[in-house]
Amino acid sequence: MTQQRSLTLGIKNLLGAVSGQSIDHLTEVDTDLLQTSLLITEAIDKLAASFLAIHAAVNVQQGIVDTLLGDGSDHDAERKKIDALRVEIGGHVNAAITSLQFQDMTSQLVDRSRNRILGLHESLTVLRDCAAQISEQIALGALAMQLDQTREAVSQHSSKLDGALRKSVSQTHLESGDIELF
Amino acid sequence: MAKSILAVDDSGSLRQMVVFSLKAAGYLVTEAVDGQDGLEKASQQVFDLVLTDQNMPRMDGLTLIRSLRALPTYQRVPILMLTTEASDEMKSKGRAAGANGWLVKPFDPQRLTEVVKKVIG
Repeated sequence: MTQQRSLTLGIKNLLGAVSGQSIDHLTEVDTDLLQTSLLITEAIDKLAASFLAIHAAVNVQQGIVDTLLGDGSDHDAERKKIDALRVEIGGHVNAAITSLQFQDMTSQLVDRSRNRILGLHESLTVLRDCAAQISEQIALGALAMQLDQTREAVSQHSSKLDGALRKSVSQTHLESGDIELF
Repeated sequence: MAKSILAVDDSGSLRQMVVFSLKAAGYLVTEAVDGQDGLEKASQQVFDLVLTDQNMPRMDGLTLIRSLRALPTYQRVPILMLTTEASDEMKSKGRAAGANGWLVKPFDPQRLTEVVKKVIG
């Protein structure tokens, strides 16, 4: 085997291996992200439904307690304690509802990551196809040109990807957001 | 008679929270799963207020607002955005499209109710 054929084969194998293995890893990452997203969505749906049902039950319980205390007997101290508890429960409910909205934000971030993975997958496919097209007999000049065209194609994919992946979630905490009336 | 609100969001859990908060305050809430669904429901009934997310499949919030403002029945109906988007650029786009307010997620139920009450009573 000539030195040139050996070099060409080395480049072809390198590009093919790097792109092929990276595609396999990205596919696994994408599968894990999708599974994570599905689990979070199901968990939050069940958590939210249970939480709201508990709150509804507490309200019914509260109504019964109010009725029992409303029989004319002297229960001022108990009534004050229950009123204080009602305010406390209301505060916890509001805080929990604010926090339970995390799924809406994390799902947007996961979607953005999955779209980036899809874009990287496409770029690596360009690289893998380039490797497959390299002939062992190719002249060095033609090889350099083919590699340069591939670099350009990968670069264009990357720029296009950046343009399509605008970040819609900037929140880093679950504090309630700003309100502005126009 | 209770005021009616159309809540448009592609997140089921978020819609649950909105419905819970606004129903507790005495409003009638109808849900829509995206902008397209929201537009269809708004075409069948005139709501007192529309509360919409921005990033949704099929039709986003800004497109929904523009489509609603093109309908004679929705030219004066208050429309509020409830979204993760917090940039001034997006708020300006919302205002230009015809939104009456911008609420950044996550929302606090009490503050949401206060704003809705301020806008439609």
